[in-house]
Amino acid sequence: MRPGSSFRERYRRAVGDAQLRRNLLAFQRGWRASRDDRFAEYTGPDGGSGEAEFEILRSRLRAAKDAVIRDQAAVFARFKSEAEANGAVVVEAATAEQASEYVLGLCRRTGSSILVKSKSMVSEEIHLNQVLEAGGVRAVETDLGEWIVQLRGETPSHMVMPAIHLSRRQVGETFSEATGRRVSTEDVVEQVGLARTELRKDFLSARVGMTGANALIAESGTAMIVTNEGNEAMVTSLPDVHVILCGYEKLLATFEDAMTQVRLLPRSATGQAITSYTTFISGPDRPGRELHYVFVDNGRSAMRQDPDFVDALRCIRCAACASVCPPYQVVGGHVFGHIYSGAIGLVNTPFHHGLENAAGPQSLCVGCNACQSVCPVDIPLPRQILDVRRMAVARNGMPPVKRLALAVWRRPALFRALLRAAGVLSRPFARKGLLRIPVPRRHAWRTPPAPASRPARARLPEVIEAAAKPRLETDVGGRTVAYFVQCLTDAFAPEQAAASVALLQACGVRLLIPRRQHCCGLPFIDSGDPAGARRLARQTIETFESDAADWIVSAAGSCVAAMVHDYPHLFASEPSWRARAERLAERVVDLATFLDQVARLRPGALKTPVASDGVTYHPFCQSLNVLRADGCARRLLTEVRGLQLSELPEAGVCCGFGGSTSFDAPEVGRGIVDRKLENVDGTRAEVLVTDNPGCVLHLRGAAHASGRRLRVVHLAELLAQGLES
Amino acid sequence: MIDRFGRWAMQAGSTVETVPDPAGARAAIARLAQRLSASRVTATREAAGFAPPGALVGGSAVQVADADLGISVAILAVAETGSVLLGSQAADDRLVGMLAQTHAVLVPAGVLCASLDDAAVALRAMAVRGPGQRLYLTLTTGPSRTADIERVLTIGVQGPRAVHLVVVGGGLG
Ligand code: SF4
Ligand code: SF4
Repeated sequence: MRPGSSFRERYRRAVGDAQLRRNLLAFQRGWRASRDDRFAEYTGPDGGSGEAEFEILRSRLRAAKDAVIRDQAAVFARFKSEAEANGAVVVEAATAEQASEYVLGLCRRTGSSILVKSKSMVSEEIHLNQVLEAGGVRAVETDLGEWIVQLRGETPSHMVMPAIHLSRRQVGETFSEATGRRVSTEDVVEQVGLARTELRKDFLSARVGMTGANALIAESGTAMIVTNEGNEAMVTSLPDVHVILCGYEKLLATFEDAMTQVRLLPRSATGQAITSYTTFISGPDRPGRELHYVFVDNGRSAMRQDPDFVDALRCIRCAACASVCPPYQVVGGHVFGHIYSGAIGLVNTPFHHGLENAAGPQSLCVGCNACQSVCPVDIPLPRQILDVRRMAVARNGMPPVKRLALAVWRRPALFRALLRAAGVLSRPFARKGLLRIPVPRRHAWRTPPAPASRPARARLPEVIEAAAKPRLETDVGGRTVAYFVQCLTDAFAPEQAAASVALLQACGVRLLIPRRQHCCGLPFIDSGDPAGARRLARQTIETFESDAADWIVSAAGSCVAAMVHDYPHLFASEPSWRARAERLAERVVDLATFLDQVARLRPGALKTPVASDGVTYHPFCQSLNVLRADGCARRLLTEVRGLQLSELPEAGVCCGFGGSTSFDAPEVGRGIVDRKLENVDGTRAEVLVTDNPGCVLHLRGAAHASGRRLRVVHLAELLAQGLES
Repeated sequence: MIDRFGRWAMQAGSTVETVPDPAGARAAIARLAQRLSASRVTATREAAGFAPPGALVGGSAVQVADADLGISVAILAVAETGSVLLGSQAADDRLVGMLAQTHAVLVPAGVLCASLDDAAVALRAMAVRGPGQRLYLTLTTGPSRTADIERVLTIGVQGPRAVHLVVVGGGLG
């Protein structure tokens, strides 16, 4: 990030940079494979391994962190007294300025004109280098990636891999420019070797060394520092003064807790079982040496007191939430974040650097929940990002077009009337569900869906009695199901509704399709308008809460996830509505889970309608990361007689629909859908199946606009076609 | 446990050999020095007795910098990760494992423990204030490395380019 440039400028520059996207795509693919391998090969003390063991480890670390956050004052006091007894100095800095001034003071007192640094995000957070420079002290970054970005006048684009946005060619050019020698633009080994020779003299002459800490162990007053390069050993050993800059959130009670972090951090950060060096420093280890701790608040107290954000203090800065994030791959960490990048950067920026610096980055989140699924301390990042969005919208308002759209959406009768009119008017331009009209260039990568001339609910009765002899053998014959159509399906994809109804009928259930139903409120949650969301959520609860139905089923995974997971937070301060929402949630289930787990469709009951073996499945993000229904969908597909499913590479990566994000930031939506479709191309499948209506329409539109002959269908459609054959 | 230790140590990029006794350890170090044609050898105080004659002990950073071979003794070794714990009480001994091009670590079989949880217990004991307190400990796993450029794994940044572990069955005597 070049200092001073606005978010808009940085966004425009990033989306025009194909090299950046390539660098980050290669990085994300490599990271994901290594991270998964490291957890897969790990066996815990109780014999568990893989993702199951990851869950055990992360719940342990989460509990350890939560305990410390709760009792922060006592844990800090313990750390301080132990560290002081070991000979260290412990100071607290309420603000960024105070922290920087303290470090500058140490340099002045020792007469050091340079400060050697090992990587520290807190020093980035408080802009330490600028303060030192203004005070006449040169800060030397000795971590390779940090050194590269420092030479380029940039900030880290990733918390663990600061220069991952660059190619080796760019690094070589930077080194040549900085040293005045010709440095290879191809040979990474030569480039790395340069750091050893160039930085050695600084190590030997500096009198003050600065590091961060990965954990601060209270029981003994010990700092744990996790690194790979060996620069940290020099920074902490060669100068006479070592200063550790840290946030209170790094405190842990015991060495055992620190070891749990050691098992999680390198695996999540770099895909290593353990890093080369895990250092434990308890105090100055020779006469004349000094060890200082500077604890920085800079917004952390406010975070701790905010029930919506306190969980984010568990963060161990592994950057997995950036390494896994689809929009991050498109725009990089100088855009997707402020100084802290990735999902956590969207969440903690308002506290460290002000809401104004979070407003742009948060708008790029597609809400895919991938970040939380890999976060080693299980921070509810996607929900917190929506809370930041709510704060940003409250301050800056919504773009006028969006405001207008939501004003229509909020009113069921108006919404229906307008879409009906649109459906009639656009009929001449509609073909195969797509609207063939010119669209603005920024959006031309996706052919828009055509509004239905007759919406789904107009075609469906309010009650469909159970068939006397149902088509399928199931466990639910004669029971009652209320079907939630979803506003988008109703207006744009009545064929998906018809397919869902056909499947449910075939199961032998009595079907209720309440006429009053409209929208669950998700578009409002996604747009940072919780008040609007609550209005529609209440309407949805009222419509479906009567106990006439045993289950409320929907083929719209996004809405099921909203009802089950977002409503409780939405009604956090309205206990009676919250209780009603929770009662409703007990009966809400997505179609795939219903067919597989509740109705228990028998294997082979359906026959493939697809002639060739060209079917591949993209699990909808919320099905995968929130509802954990992807296994059900996959089983249903593999149990269709004659259907050959080809595995989709990077199946778990979002398709880029992201509710309104793909309209607000079309370049991001396009970048992500390109990645998805290229992966689909690799399978040679002719049919792409997924399980959320919005994603079907988005993928279908993007496939069409790019000239692909791919057929994109909802899971319900493919299964329903299997009924007929 | 020795096998498990060796397996993970090798996965982390260390080389490992096992010898029966102190004499075997001395011979292993001599072989290594010869193979590396190491003219500048440095050792910690604990390892001095295993180094070839003339090895530098207690040198300054400038003297130790980029020695061909440095020799240390592990306080603890962890099978779960293939790591060795280093932490001489004399601060200058630390330079040996930090600056030498190749780092040889003698691992008495008796210091081997199974898991990081065992290491936590040991670390707590070493943190107790008193004459046995260790104020600076490093759990080392393989050579110095980076993947900061294009995620290409490159060995030997600021620290050693190679780590050779010599497990000594009967201990160092
Ligand atoms: S929800 Fe998805 S898009 Fe949003 S920050 Fe997390 S990983 Fe990125
Ligand atoms: S929020 Fe979670 S995933 Fe992101 S850096 Fe922090 S610990 Fe890692």
